[in-house]
Amino acid sequence: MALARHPGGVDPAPRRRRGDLCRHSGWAFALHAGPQVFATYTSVLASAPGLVVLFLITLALLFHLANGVRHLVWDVGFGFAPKTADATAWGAFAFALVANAGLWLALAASGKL
Amino acid sequence: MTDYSTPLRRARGLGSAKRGVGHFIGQRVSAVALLLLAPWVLWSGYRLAGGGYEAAQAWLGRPTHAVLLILTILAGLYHGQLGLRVVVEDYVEAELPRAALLILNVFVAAVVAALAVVCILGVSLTNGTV
Repeated sequence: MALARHPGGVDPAPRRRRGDLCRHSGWAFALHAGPQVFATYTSVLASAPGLVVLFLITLALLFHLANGVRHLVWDVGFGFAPKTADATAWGAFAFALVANAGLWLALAASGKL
Repeated sequence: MTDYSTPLRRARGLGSAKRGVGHFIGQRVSAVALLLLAPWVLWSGYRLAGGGYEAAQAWLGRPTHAVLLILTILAGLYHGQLGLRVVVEDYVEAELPRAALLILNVFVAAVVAALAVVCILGVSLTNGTV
């Protein structure tokens, strides 16, 4: 879990810089730069490699979120028993997978992809 | 030779620089902020996906959205900058690359923050619909 957490915690960080913050900040830059830049930007995101990257970013961020909650609970002083800690570790993996699948299925179902 | 120095004498100066607590607290507080913003971020991303330029402009023209997006980006950059700092401190031992990366980390976060705020305000203020 320690190994899983580090990539989980570390991975979104550089990707936040390049990926997610380019999805948020970059989105704002593109929007500010005008319709042509915005169209290029969104078409890159909507391309197959763009979607794969976005899918992995949301997966990494959702895992980071779930594991972050786990750490906040530890900080408050609960959940240290090995069995509990194991269970919440699997819970964090499960949450990330299920929530990410839910998000992308919802996007697909609404015809937004 | 008998060492007559007390344990306290030997421990002095070897402890923390007393600045770590600020980092620790900043990391948790920004985590809580991002946790609160996360549902809104997910929902907004879902709503905006595939919506096109004008929908995005109109969306950002709403002051609530501009405020929340600025908060998200600032909290995210701050949180990410703190986290990356720990990675550099933990894994880069050579002094010069370490210092350079720590400085670069702060600079990148600051530049992205300033750019994002200016762009958001630019779009927001020219498309304002209160």
